[in-house]
Amino acid sequence: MTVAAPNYELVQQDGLETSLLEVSMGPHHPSTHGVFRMDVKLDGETVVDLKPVFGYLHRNHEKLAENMSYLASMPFTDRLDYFNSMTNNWAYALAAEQLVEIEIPERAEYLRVIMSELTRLVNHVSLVGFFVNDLGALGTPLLYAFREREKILDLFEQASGARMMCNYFRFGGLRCDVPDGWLDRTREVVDRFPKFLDEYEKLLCENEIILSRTQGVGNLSKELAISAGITGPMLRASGVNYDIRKVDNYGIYERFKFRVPYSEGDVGDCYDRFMVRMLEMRESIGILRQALDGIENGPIMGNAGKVFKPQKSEAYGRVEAPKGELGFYLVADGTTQPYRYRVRPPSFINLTVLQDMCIGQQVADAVIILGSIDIVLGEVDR
Amino acid sequence: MTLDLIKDILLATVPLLIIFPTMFALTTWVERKALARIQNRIGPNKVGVPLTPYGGKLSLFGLGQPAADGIKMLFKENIVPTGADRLFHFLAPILSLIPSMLVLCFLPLDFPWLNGEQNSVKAFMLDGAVIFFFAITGLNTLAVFMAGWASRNKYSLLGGMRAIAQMVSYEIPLVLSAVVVVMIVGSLNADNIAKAQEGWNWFVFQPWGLAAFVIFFIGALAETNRSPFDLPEAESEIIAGYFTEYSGFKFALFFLGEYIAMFAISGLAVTLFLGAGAGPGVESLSWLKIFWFLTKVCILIGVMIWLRGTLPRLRVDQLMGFAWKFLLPLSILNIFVAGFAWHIKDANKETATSVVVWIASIIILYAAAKGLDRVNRAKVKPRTYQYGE
Amino acid sequence: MNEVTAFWMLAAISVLGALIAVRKRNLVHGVFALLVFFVGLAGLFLLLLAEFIAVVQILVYAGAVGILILFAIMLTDRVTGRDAFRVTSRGSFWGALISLAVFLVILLPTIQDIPTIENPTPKETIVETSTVKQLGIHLIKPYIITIEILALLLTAALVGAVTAAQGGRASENEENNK
Repeated sequence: MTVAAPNYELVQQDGLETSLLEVSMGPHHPSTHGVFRMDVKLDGETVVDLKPVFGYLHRNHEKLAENMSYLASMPFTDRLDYFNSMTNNWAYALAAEQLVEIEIPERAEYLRVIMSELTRLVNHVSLVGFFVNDLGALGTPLLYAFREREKILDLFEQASGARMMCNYFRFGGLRCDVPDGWLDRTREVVDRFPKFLDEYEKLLCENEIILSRTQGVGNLSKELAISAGITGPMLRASGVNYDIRKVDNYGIYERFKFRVPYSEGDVGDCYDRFMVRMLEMRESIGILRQALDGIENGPIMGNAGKVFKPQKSEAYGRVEAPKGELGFYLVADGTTQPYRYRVRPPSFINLTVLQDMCIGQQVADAVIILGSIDIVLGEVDR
Repeated sequence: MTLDLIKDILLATVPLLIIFPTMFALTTWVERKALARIQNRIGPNKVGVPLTPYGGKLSLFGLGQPAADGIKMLFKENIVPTGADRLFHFLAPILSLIPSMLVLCFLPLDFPWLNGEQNSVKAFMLDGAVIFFFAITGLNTLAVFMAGWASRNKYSLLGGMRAIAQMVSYEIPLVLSAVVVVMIVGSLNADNIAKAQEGWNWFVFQPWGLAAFVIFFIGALAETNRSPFDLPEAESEIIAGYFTEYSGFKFALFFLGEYIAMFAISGLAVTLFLGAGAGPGVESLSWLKIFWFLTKVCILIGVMIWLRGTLPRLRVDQLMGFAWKFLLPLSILNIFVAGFAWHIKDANKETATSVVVWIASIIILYAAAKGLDRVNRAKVKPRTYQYGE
Repeated sequence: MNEVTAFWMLAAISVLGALIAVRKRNLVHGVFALLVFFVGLAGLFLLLLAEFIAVVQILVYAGAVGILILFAIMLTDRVTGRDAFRVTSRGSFWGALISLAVFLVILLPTIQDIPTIENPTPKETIVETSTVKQLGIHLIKPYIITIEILALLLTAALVGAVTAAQGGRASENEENNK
């Protein structure tokens, strides 16, 4: 099914010719979230055409991974979506674990879920901060969001030694166990988090300016979202109930009770995308509480063997990363290096509808639409 | 005679050139500190006064920051883009500072050293002070256009266009809300307006005065490009708007011009609505007048800083709609309300009548504001979401 | 003495601004020169103690008309192109002739009122009270009908402009709907 891109027609007065203003927003622009460029054609303030240009951060990630051992590219996955190294690790580990049969210990599974949900909090909290920053709130909400993010990054640092590039997962488990008292500290952070969410919701979600700036802006219909392969909160904001945690039940997600918030209508505007993320954070807190209650002592590493050398086979592992479906496709040829290594990046695929959402909107809206997609250029360009 | 005149002019203008730039320097520090506190940060706290050449310093909560910023600005490279109009690129920052500085002369600042006969030497003692103020502030728009056009940068151009549209639109409610006061006092002279509010007869305590003050303050925020109306320099959209291509001291001049304009327009708001120099103790100590005046200006500036740390930005169409569909009708209605209130009060001096008029005007203005709000409010409301199990 | 110096300075600025406005090939530069002329003229009015006229000169001409011209240039021309601004100077002779004629027509009646040493004040004496007040009283009392007719004219022009602007857009929309 194809959905036609909306056309914008210039209003031509008799005898007056209107010419368009072409602005190249980026690659260094304060709100393109990295080295991303939008070639925008403007009629006054209205966006007539928009072409996303990227590739400034291309690092040859996939080809590099095909020329080194399986495990050696684990640290590189951190650098894909550098906000969410834990879920990147998990997606890669899932794919690799399908190539060989490895039993993953209980404690490792619990910790994976805890890390993954903490990552979701980190991602969403920074997203809503940046989003309101793009709306022009001069960093105040952003800095409060970063205060919460900082606490979780501290937890990551205590567990893995790094705040953002965690490199914490291994095929068959985790690199090391969490230090003593880590779970208690996590529980403290998790218990305090709803307070922040309440405050944030009270101040922002019903703010008149935010409502009028975001509602009806950057609409993404259900049909277009599905046919464009959009995943994650963006898809749910368009009114589709689809969450890989529910669909695939990877890890031990079937043990936890949680709900998937999605939009009631199929407007799918910036406000929906903002709110779905706010609500998802509350669900993540629920999962974290259950996981922290259920976790028991035990080994954290399964028997993976010294050398990871799978038989000729192929595997696709995917997780519900905070930004959408993150998948790794691996083809093994019986050596210690993958024959083909392919990433399905959610940021990149979600970005494809940018043009459709922006045409006909104001230039100020284009910025917040881009912000609401939630891209990280490390993942878009790879 | 000529020497005396020169002396008078210097006595009236030089203090303005000392007080306001000093206040500007302090305000940048206060703004950075206050914003930092609003944003859960500490803000500048390192730069202080060096005590010895070998180290050791007095930190003073980072009060040295404005000086350090100024020195930094002076030493930065002056970059003019290729293809820019060099002359206009050079003239624009100067032109943006001149009107802001010039309008300071119309504020009724009673300097204690200008007593007696010379008291009339406010830098300009003009009958049409208020209207002069608006005329000269309007010239700021030209500087903005100049900067936006001369930079030959598309962001600058967009910023310039936004700035002009915004300044022209918001000037109307601004002037119309000032008209109310001019009408009641019967004079455009800033001194007469100040005299009419002596004691506690500030116009802001009248219903129409309060409405006019609120409209004026909103218009002032838009005129000086402050949040939530900072579209011409919206960082997340068009980098820095019309001064994108400015660096070094030219940028500093824009910055200075913008802050001086803030002081000037706050000063006018204080003059028109907040009783100018009126305040406790003015009768016995006349120099308290200038103290109260500047204090009120600082309070208004503080509110501006507070708003900057709090509110997100509007969109262009919403901004224009707000000016034309909400502020303009309300300020026109306010003129009528004020006129009737004043007329009835003038004809009938009983307390009961004035109370009735007072309450009636509150009701009318409130109902009008509510009605306009209901008509114009964007059809937005918080939504509910469903959950999949 | 001072006033004479001020007069000559302002006059020089005004004439210079006007000349540049006419001769400058770059349209935007020309407009800014025109604005200098407007401001110079306002200064001259101020020198004649006509404060209100001076302020209206700045408010209306430098503020509003100038911005309007700039807007028109900016919106109709390609702002990014360098050679976009060309002024033709054909027919400058006739232009000069006409402006000279207009100047003389204005000059002739006023020349009789110019104060001389024998007759130091113009026919109407300078009023002591505020000019704003005088102007207001004159506008409301003897010239009220003129003012009202002017206001009506301006309102009609405004409504006409809005209709013209909206008409084009409305028909456009209709065509689009078809």
